[in-house]
Amino acid sequence: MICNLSRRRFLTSVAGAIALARIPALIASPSNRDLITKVIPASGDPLAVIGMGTWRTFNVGHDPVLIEQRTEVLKAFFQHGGELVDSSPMYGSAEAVLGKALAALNRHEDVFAATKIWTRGKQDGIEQVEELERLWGLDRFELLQIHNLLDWRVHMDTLKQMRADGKVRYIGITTSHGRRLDDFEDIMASEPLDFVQLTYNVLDRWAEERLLPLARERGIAVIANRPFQGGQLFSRFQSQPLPAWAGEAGVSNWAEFFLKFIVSHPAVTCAIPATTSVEHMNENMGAQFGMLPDADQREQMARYVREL
Amino acid sequence: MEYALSDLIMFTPEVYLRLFIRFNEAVWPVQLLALAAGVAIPVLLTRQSMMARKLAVALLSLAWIACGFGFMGNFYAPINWPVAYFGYAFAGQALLIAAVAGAWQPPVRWSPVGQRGKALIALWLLMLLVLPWLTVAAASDGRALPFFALTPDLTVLGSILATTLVPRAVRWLLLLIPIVWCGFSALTLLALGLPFPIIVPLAGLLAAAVAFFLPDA
Ligand SMILES: NC(=O)c1ccc[n+]([C@@H]2O[C@H](COP(=O)([O-])OP(=O)(O)OC[C@H]3O[C@@H](n4cnc5c(N)ncnc54)[C@H](OP(=O)(O)O)[C@@H]3O)[C@@H](O)[C@H]2O)c1
Repeated sequence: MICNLSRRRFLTSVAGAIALARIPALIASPSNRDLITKVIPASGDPLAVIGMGTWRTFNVGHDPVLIEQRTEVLKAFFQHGGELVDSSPMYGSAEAVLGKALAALNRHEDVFAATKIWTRGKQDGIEQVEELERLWGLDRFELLQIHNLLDWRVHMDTLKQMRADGKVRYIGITTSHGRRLDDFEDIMASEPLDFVQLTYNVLDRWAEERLLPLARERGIAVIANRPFQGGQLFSRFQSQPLPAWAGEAGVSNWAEFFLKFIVSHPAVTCAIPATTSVEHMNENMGAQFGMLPDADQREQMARYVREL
Repeated sequence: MEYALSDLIMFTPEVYLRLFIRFNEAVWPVQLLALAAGVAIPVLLTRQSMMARKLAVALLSLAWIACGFGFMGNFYAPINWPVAYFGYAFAGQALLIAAVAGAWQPPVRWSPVGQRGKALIALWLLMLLVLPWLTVAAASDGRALPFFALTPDLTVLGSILATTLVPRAVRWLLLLIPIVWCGFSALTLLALGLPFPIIVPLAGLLAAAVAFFLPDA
């Protein structure tokens, strides 16, 4: 695959290759302040486990005050070592706002840019990608996904061709809320995907049954969307105390609890929480440092929230 | 896992309420013209003079166009893409108002002024001067004041009130787009969790139901 890697992404690729040679497991076992990364099976590159979603949070239109504020959120994300930013043409002005924020921070080289095709028809799909590259201010995306499988057969051919031509690095598909799971599974089993994106969090665990094992089997990286169930996990549990053993699982607040539960699943590569707040971003990014819970601790975590 | 209504909303309440602030800053002092038109329309509509009524209808049509292309097209649509289509629907409604009033039902045949005219003026003033403060209350910011003829919910509510003067045979035609808008706006505000501003589109739906069944005066 021809890859026009940016400077930073090239360096991380090299670092990833070295890391991969040393660490056989998918999860690097970090010391306390090490950034937790996972390996993208298709390339062997490492990826920071906490990414950023932009649904609702970055759709601020032309509002200069809010564009500046969201730029601060993105700045905090990068300061904590964040890499993958996920968006979609479905998210209103989010991609235009991201483009402005990236330009203000001069961070085009550092972002692992992931967006989606969300339209019907081959030509419209191609034109949409070109328009999104313009909005983000990028020559090409790291990852292009087919949003909710919309017209997926048509776009899959386009994406495979783009990947072969070096116009995108990785390709994938997305779903959420547990929709079209059978189709999703069939595509995972039959198409040469690099990434899938699906809903996975401490309460919504249906992906554990078939999709996550299939992803491991097929060497597909997994992005977990709706890690906080769209924020509902906080409304439901934030007023409750963390379990006494939280520290042993590497968790010091609820955001870390929810996110570390997700990214400690061996098949999950990265979670993409969305936020409008710098303070919340700082909290969320804490989840990509320190220890991750082991399998027993994960079950304990799931049981704890179920019983609350 | 099912979709909740709130899962479908693509922006935050803060972004929505700030639209009004930004719009007001951008178009000042057009608000004064909008307010003048808002006062003039019910007064002109309830006069016997054909010219006065035609002027009122023209102002009402202009209100829909200004609202569709100004606030909706340039401010609201970028954060809520279905609103772009509503912007065009608003232009269509402007034409419909002009067509219904100008061609099919000459304004002179509208209901004579009487009790209904007085009720219209009273409700219209409520819409024009009182209901805008619900958005201000939600934003806790006086700069977020919405205006009839500039922002959609008030423009639509006022127009629904005005339809009570149109013969029932064609009134329903003028109610279609307003009803769809009020439903859309009410659901949006419900999903955003904005209990004060939602009163305006809900009042619009109620007024449309009354207008739909109200016999000719
Ligand atoms: N089909 C698809 O492709 C698909 C579907 C769904 C989602 N996605 C992607 O996945 C991303 C994440 O999903 P999501 O945005 O729906 O939901 P989410 O990330 O689960 O939750 C976002 C909500 O959590 C709140 N939050 C974040 N951090 C917090 C903290 N530390 N403390 C308290 N509250 C916090 C945010 O509010 P504040 O702003 O106040 O922090 C926001 O309301 C999306 O943005 C999108 O990129 C993709």
